[in-house]
Amino acid sequence: MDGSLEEQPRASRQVRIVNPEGMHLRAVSLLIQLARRFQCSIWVSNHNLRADAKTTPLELLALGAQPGDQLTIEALGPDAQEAVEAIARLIENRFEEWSAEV
Amino acid sequence: MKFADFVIREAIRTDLKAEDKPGVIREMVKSLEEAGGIDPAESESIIKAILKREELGSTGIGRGVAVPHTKHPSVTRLIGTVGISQEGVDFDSLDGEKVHLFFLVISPPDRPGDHLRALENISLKLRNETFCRFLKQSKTTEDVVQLLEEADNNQFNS
Repeated sequence: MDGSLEEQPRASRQVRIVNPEGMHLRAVSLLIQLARRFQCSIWVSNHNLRADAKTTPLELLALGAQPGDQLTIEALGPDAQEAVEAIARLIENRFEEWSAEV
Repeated sequence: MKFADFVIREAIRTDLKAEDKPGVIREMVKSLEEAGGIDPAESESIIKAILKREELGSTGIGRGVAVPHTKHPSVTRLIGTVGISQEGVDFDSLDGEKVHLFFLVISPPDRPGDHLRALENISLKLRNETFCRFLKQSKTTEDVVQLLEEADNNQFNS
């Protein structure tokens, strides 16, 4: 049964957008770069839309995540828990505070 | 937000001549100037601001699309235009692909929400592969305007 899909660790967490500019392009680019460091598959959802966090900025921008929106981060794979925590932290830390300059 | 809310039709270009990033940005800002969308006296300042934003990270968002943008105090509402390069331009996109389709957006500094809504709308609509492909294949302003109208009327589902 080793390595079968059902055996893969899963993780998910909800996190609220707190930076005043929402999930703009630089925020999205940073999120993708972070997501790509992990082995697991990662998705971000807002309202009824779900985006692969490792693909293109276009997918994540389409979520239109505004301040106050509650996002769901989901991951599937060996480092799922770690990935979900790291991405939630990035969002909670206001994408490193550099949003005001964009 | 709909395309009709911010795209200035007269500034749409389906035959961009520029072959590099600064050239494309200049060509599109000039088209906005010619269409009366921006104050000619502010053009150079706007071009500079958009290029400065590119230095922070490419606005290439994948699928051969880029959204060069800036906030600028000379505009009172969010405005933008569409440009198509038949040859494609290297825009340092994250996915390494050449960019054929450009949405250039300028927003007032105090309206970050509008800016985000415009990017959301562009991205949401371009997730539809048919819409994205048809836009890139557009040969005339009329083609682009019609496609944007159809997208505004939700004729393309993502």
